[in-house]
Amino acid sequence: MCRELSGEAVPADVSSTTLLEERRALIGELNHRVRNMLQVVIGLCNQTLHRSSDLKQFETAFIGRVQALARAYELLSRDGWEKVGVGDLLHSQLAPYVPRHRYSVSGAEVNLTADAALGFGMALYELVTNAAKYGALSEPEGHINVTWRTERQSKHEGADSADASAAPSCLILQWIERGGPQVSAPARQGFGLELIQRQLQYQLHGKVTMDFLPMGLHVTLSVPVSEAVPNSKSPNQTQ
Amino acid sequence: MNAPPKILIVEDQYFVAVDCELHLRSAGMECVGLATTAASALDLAERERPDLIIMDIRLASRADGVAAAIVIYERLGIRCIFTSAHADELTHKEAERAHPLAWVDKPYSSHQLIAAVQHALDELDSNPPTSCVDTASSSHTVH
Repeated sequence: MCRELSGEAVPADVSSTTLLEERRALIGELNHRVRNMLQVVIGLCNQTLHRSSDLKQFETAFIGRVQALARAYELLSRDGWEKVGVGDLLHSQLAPYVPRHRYSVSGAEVNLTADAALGFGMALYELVTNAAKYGALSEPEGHINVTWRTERQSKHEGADSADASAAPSCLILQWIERGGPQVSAPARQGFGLELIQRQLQYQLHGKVTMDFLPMGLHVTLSVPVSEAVPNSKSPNQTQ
Repeated sequence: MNAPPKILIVEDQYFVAVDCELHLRSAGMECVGLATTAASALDLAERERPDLIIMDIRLASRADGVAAAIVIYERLGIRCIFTSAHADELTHKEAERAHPLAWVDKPYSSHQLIAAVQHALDELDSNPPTSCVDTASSSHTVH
C-alpha cells in the first residue's frame, strides 16, 4: 500500500522518483478497481432488469444493491482495502433498514477479505430485503439474530471437527428470523435469495443453506477461511 | 445447420460472468462453462474444447488470466479475447504469447462484447487454428 495513504511519515531523503512511481502504481490500481466495479454494476443492472416486472421494481432493487456495494466499499476504504470486520459489515448493512432493537449480532472478531466483504455485503442486503417483504421485518414484533463463528473442518468426512490438524477452516454465519409470519418454503425461490446462493458459491466457493422453518427463515452462509483474515487483536477467535 | 460456436468464459466476478453468458446465449452462441480460476479454466478448456475463450486478465486479484491463456494456447491451440479493467504495457506484451484475437476494455457493453466475439470467430474461420501445439514449450504454471 502507498505510504501516503497509510499515514506513515515519508523520510525526507526518499527520492521524488520513488514517490512518483508509488503514486502511478496507486492510480493504476485505482483505475483498475473502478473500471472493474463499473463492469460489475453493468452486470448487476442487466441481471436486475432481467428479473424486474416493471421499472419501479427495477429502480428499487438496483439502487438498493448498488448502495449495499457502496456500504461495503466504504468499510473497505477505512482499512486500506484489505479487510472488514464481520460485525462492522453487519451493522453497516442492517442499520439503514432495521431499527437497532430489532436485530442482534454476536460472534468473535473475524475479518473478511475484500471480495468476501463485497459478497457478504450483497447477501446481507438481500436477506434484509427478503425479511422486510416476507419475513420477520414484515411484522412489528419480528426480530433477526445473526451469529457467526470460525470452524475447523476435517479433511476426512465424519472425523472429529475439533481435530487441530484439520483444514481448512470455514467462517459460518447464521441468520435467524423470529416473530414474523408463519413461514413455508416458497414454490419458486425469489431472485434475491437465488442471487445469494449463486454469488457466494461462484465467487467465494461458499455454501448457502436456507431452512424455511415455520417460526422463521434460518440461513447459514459458510465460506472457506481463505476469505476470512485473522484478526490481529484476538488471534484465538474460534469459538 | 451449423452448430453454435462454443465459448468458455473465465471471469471471477459473478455478475460479470452471468451477464456475459446471457449476452452470448442471446447472440446464438453456446457457453460451455464459467471458470473463476486459471486452473479451472484449463480443466474446462481441455474438457470442452471451446472455439474461443473470453478471459479476464486478472483472476482473484492476480494477473493469472494471462498465464492461463498462454498455457491454453500452447497446449490446446485455443485462442482468446482478453477482457481487462486496466493492463499496462508489460502485461500486453506478455499476453501476446497467447495470440489473443482482441482486447475488450472494461467497462464494456453487450454490443461491444458480441461484436468482438463475432469478429474473433470470423477470424478463426478465415485462419483456423493449426495443431502445432507444443506441450513442452509452455513455461507457465497454472495454479
